[in-house]
Amino acid sequence: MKSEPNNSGQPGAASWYEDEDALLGVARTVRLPRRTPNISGYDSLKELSRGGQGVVYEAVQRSTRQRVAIKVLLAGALATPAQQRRFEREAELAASLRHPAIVRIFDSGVTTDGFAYLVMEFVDGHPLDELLRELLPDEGRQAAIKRRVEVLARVCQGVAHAHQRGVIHRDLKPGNVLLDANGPHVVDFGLAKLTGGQESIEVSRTGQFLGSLPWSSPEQAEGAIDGLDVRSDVYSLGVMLYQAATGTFPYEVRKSIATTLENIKTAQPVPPRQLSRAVDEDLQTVILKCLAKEPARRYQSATELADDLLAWLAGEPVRARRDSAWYTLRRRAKRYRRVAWVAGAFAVVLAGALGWSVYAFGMVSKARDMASEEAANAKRAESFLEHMLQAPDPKNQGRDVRVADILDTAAGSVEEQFKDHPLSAANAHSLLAGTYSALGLYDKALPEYEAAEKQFIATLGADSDEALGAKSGRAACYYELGQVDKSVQVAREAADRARALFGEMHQRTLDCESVLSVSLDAAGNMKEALPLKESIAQRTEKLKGPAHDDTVNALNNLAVAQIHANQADKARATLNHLLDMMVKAHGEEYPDCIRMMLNLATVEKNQGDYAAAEKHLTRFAALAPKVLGPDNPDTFVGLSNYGDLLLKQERYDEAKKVLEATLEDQRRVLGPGHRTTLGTLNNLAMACDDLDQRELAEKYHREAYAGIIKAMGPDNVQSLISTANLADALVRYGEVDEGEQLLAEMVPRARKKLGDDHWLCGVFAGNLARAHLAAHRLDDALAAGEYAVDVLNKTLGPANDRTQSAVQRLGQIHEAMEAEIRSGARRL
Amino acid sequence: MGLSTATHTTLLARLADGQDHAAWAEFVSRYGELIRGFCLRRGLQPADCEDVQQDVLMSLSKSMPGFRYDPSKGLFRSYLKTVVVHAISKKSRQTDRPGPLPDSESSPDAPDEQQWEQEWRQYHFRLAMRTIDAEFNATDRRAFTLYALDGSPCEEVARELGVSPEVVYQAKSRIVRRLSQLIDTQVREEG
Repeated sequence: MKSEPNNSGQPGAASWYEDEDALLGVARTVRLPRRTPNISGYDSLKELSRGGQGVVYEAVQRSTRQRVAIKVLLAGALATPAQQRRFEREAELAASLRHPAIVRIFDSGVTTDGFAYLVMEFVDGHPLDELLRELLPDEGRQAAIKRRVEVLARVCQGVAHAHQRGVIHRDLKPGNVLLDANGPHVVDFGLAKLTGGQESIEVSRTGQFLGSLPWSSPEQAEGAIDGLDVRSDVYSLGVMLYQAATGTFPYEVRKSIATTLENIKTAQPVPPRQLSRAVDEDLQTVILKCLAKEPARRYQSATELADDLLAWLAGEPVRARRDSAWYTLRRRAKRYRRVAWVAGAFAVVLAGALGWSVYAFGMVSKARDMASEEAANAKRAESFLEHMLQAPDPKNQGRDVRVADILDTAAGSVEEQFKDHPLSAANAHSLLAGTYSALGLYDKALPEYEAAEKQFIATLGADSDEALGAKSGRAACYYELGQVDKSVQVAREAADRARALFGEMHQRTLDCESVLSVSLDAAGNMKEALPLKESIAQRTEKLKGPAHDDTVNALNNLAVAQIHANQADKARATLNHLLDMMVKAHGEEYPDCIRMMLNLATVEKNQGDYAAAEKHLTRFAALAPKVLGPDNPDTFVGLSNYGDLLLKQERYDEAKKVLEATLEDQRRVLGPGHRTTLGTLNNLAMACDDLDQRELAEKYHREAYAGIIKAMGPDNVQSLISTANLADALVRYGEVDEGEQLLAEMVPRARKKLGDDHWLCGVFAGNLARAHLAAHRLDDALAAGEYAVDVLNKTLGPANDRTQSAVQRLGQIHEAMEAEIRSGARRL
Repeated sequence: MGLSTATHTTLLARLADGQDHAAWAEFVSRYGELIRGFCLRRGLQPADCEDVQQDVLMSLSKSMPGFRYDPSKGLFRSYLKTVVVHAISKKSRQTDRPGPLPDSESSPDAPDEQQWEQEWRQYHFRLAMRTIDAEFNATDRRAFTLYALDGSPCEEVARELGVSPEVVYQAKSRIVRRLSQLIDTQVREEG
């Protein structure tokens, strides 16, 4: 039992009657009419609520039989004719607002006993403070925040509508927003002014703001009422956003009124991320921008704020941070990283396209953190780049080609710019390298890393963290450019050195080892790659916690290695674990979660568990347009993979339809040369192949092949796969010579790049054997076929489909040889 | 908590006597409005509010003789609320209207607790105003109403009442301070 009267959650003093404002607030409500008023034209008045401002009734408008809400305002406000005129004017203005997020005002007047009233749209909902008061669940906190922000973004749009018509709310708070199935509806527009009176300070001192004080702007706390502008509403929205993200207020508002006023005027808000890690940096920036003490530093309109909230919800750069063009670029780069991460669309032949280039980004963020934390040298480098990027806004300048152009200009002038500052030059090279990498422009990143490494060694020494960072960045570029041997060698140097210098739990060590591990993987050295990746994943989880981005990446990389090592069951378990962890941390409607579904589906598909794969892919397809946006490259990847799954299930017509539609969108949004567009093209070619639409299939195969070679170079794994696909199709279509030639030229390169013991080389050699067989070069066919069976037996095992078809092919070769012997064309 | 000699407990004790009609009248005048106000807040039609009010007072009048109020068992405030909520739900069952009413076991933070709290505060305010009406002159009280409650400008009120703004301001401060003292005492005595 409580020993004191409950204060029903109202912020304020310990006892309401000791606080003048609270006491007078109660006094005012006592004076409201007890008897239901008679308002002509409205029937069946039923009291809904009573508050400091007045009583709200539910009623029925006689003429229309429409259900309405009638708010009868406090007595006294309309004591003079001037006040009455003002009421009418404000009511008229409020009645002119038409927006789904604003409760409409139909009518206004004065009751027979002198109370002013407003007739409003009836909203069958609950005040938003119920939603914001609910504790954020531990599970799916991020998703919960997102839902709240969605609601508040709509509130902002409503408020913006009013602002554009000259109506300022002045008393925005969760209690003034009703939430129903159609979304939020703001009530009481302009009412604060109606009931507020002119003596603003007195008003705020005498209880008008009792329930609103925590949401008041500094200007309001200063006592201004007539001087208030739209930015005061922006501040109040900021407090609501803060609550939405953290479940609490930006500063102490529950002690005395005086303390609260003082806090509103002077206390810096506690950064939301200090209270909840589920709030990301962008959202924090948006919220804190609303809560700037000086109006000039806030969003200058609710429209601006609404735009930024929508941008945040869509995962796009927020304006609050676009002050820095550099930031925008990073955001874009981050998006590209994601694309690379799930390039599983190529899974037609290869499961292992997951997890590429994640590591490079680790480097970028490292370089960036360092730059933002560190001294003038790093700052100088970054501000130089910012300056370079400021004139053209990358967001408005079309595609990344333009961004790359800008970077090229910047790269060209680094040396000149930093003649006398070698360390700044090193930092600038390093930042440029990271950005190029994140955009996938590794050939351009490589010389920047080289220059950065050289200058870091000259200034800070070869054993500096910076020099090692540049070295491992360089290794990552070799890896991406397909120079696997070189990347293994350089990454090993960097990793060994980092381990010796900093120990195995250091971030730099983990970064270097990460590059080494994926290089080993690509080189087919699974004996070393697998345990290293396992160890990296364990250490990262220990260092960063289970749901951290780095841990997710490390586990994802481990899954890739497991796939390559033909441990699909383990890979699936790893990815399932990863997905569980992320759903727990972020909720299902979180970009990385649904991307994980995509990866998992890829593994399931390759295992032949089409039912499971389809389950994950359809879930992905349902969520992706909403969570990632309909034009997001990853959404296309998912659709492309879905098409591939249909192919695998021999549902060719469906597959072709899905893939054609996806291809068209991808070409439009990403351009024809984009790697995921090419992946879809590849899959589509396979569909046409299986539908026996040879001409179309050949056309698509050739387009895909040319595009992939152009985008990735001839030695990239995906280029090799595409070559094999095209060549195999040509052989089947009777264009044997061209196909055979392509394969004969490609297989040795593949063996060199991937190693003789790689299962893919077995697959390629099987293709080559078929080509030789078709060309009646049986000795060559026998050699290729025997090698294929040998490798596939060793890697995928004798029961695997691919192994079995290689065995069958070898049988055909033997038969062909026997036939030749029988016909006398061949001797024993 | 307040001592057993406090007026409120005394009133309950007098009701328990069963014979003290003046005590009963006082009880009705104090709590009748509170009960009615709560019913209104809960969305009952005015006629139904009167019914519930009668019902509650009847059942209290039956239980009060012999009723031994024991503060250790909980607040009178909570006890009364339970009785009222019960009566409302009974009423809405009778009238067969879709009542907006949960049963009496609602959690302390449920909306009806807030509504109850609002009514309870108003009840205390009204009770304290009785003393204010007795202790302050008409000009002071009018100044308080116009200036503190209606929000009219201080100068305007002073002009209307023919006094100096200082008098208006003083009247408001004194009445507010006195209200605060009175309610503090009432709450302590409430048990």
